[in-house]
Amino acid sequence: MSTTKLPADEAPTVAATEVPEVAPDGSKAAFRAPIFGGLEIGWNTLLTTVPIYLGLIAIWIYFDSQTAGKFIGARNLSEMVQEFSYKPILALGVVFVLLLGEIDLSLGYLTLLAATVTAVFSEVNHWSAAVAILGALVVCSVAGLAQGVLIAWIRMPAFVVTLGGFLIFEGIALHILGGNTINVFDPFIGSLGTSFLPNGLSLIIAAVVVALFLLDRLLEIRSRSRAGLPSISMARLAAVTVALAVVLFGVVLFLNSYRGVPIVLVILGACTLGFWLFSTRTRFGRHIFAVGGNLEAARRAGINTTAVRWIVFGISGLMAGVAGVLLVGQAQAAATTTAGPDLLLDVISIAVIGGVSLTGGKGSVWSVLLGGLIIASVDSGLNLMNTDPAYVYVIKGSILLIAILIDIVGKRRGGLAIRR
Amino acid sequence: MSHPKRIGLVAATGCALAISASVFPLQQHAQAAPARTSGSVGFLFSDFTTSARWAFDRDFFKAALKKTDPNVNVMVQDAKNDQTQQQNEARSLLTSGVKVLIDVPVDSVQAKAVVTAAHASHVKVIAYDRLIEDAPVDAYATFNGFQVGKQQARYLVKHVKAGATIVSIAGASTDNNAHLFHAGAMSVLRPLFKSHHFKLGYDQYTAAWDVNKAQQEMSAALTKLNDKVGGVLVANDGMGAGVIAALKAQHLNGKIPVTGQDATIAGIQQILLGNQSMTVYKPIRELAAAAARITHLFLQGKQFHSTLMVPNGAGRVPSVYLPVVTVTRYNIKSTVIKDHYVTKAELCNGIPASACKGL
Repeated sequence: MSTTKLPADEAPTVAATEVPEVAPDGSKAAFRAPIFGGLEIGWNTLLTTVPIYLGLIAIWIYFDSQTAGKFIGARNLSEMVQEFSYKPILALGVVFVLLLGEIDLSLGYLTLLAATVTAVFSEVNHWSAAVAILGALVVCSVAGLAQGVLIAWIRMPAFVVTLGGFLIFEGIALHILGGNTINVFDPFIGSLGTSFLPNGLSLIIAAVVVALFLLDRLLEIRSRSRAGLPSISMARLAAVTVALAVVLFGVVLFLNSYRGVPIVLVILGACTLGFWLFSTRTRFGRHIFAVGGNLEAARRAGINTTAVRWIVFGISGLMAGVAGVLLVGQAQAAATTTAGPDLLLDVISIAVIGGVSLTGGKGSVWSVLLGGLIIASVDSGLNLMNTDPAYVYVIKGSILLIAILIDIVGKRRGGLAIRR
Repeated sequence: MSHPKRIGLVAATGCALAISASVFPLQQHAQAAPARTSGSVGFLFSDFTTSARWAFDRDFFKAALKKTDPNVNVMVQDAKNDQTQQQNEARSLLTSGVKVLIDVPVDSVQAKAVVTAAHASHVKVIAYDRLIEDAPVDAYATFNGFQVGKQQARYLVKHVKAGATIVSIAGASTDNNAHLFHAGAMSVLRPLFKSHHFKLGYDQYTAAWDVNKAQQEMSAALTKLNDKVGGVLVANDGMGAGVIAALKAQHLNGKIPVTGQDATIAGIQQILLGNQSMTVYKPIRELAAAAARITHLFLQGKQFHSTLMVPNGAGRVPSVYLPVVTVTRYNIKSTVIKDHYVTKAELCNGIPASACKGL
């Protein structure tokens, strides 16, 4: 089987319904894709994401004008990040499920279950924060993997299995809580949802990220030129590096002008980067795209499609665990109203607005940042305007539809075939 | 249902209350001789999830009815916050031949269908805790919701400086009680807003009484008002947890009065820690007993008469209102602990022993 190479300036976001660049026998392909390739935007991607960025800017300008300049203030945006980052974190798991062309309906209540067991482990069993958090993550991963067994091995439809999970996890969480709110007094769990990084440390992390990016690209250019392949010009690399630095340092300095970078944002950034490396740099991760793009082709190429599908539902469960822990940290309490079906719809919207296809095979974990920013902006802006909650649903629904409309129209204009 | 109509209704309920104060038309029936009744009655709950109280309601009602009607079976249903599901449950109970329906509606207006179906089978309906609107419901037993809001507001009036700004985090707008609590509180506060004694800085209903949404609303309110908030009118303890988390982020917890309701363990813990100022305790045992007494009357084929007639859009409903109690750190022992509603051990789990002193 021949290996497929991505153009150097093409983001893997529009990647590969073909089987990617690892031979089925496991031999490493000669081509080494850039670690930070996803940060560079190809023209095709630009065509479909630019309208969404413009939409985001329009939303921000509107809210800012309605709130006497409070919306685009360091305080409000910092709180927005603090309060809504758990949604894109949960959406990271959803991206993989959607990449398979599947759905996980159980996530809202699995997050509630995660919040519940975190609170119970910490406050009723009096376990340390580390054990309580780890316990919640294990419970949710196992729950996700259990659903995965039914879906991947028994071949039950994901819609039905996770609908069952939706009800079962809800029932278990409600039984444990019995309608009570549990206050969580553990300072570490609380700090996850409420604390900030020291200003200096955030700047150091930003500098390290930029340096690693530059190093990665330089190594890649060297390896490509050794293999006699063309690569991007030094001028372009410099421009991209400067752009990345401006964005990263801009965000850090802006947030530092209030209280610093919220810890949840670091968790979101680390999880996104980690999952991006996993999905594009590891053999297993690339198999997810292949299975989602064309299950039969992937199977014939020797990919263990069953294992891929199984693990993806485990990842989805794990991220529900992370989101549940963060929610408890935020409110320093767990209640039956902590999470539910509304959350599920929000995270699917986040992935889809960010450009993940519902039919599988297409999408990037980075999309959760854009989608998450839009959903969070709407929630936060409408709260700041003291708007009737009824409108919030209508507005979010409309944004979801507009985002998909732009996506589809953009692709048609760009002359791209819409992938299945 | 249109919003203005609902507000009018809430106001009308408030007026009815003001006129009749607390009336206990039921006491004369308390000693009624047990009659030989049998069969079953149906108790339709909205949910057992958004508040821990409903399990108490269920158990106290069963115990109270057992005293007067030991052979009557109580069939309990949980609508899981879905009014359509409750309608189906009502239909099944009516098919199985229940003699009385006691209903905690999910949606006060949509629950009309429950009454219509029950009356078609000649079964009487008692609206429990939440009023059913626009339907000729046979009786209504509840806590004085208007009074809950009034007590919360009065606490703020007493403890908030003149000229300060008040933030209101109200409950779910689908719940008639959320409007009642709000209207009760505003009946006290609105004249003070008009006279510029206080300012109303932020006022928001919260879908599903969601704790994290309440937190997001409170932090938006603090941003909007540059932290210049003198007191927070929070409709219940559940949302109080989120509001307190938002106040903590600005180091304002314990510095401004925060109200609550339901006397939950979590809420009273926040009172002991100094983060919440008060909660409104509703003695559920007495409400359940009142509903059981009305059920007993209906089982004997009698009517329920009351001097307290609450308008619900389809006429006036004979009603019983149970009084509510303000709980602060000074009377926890003499109210909720004395009534075995919560135990000292439950309250002291997880909080520093120093906060628990004096209980």
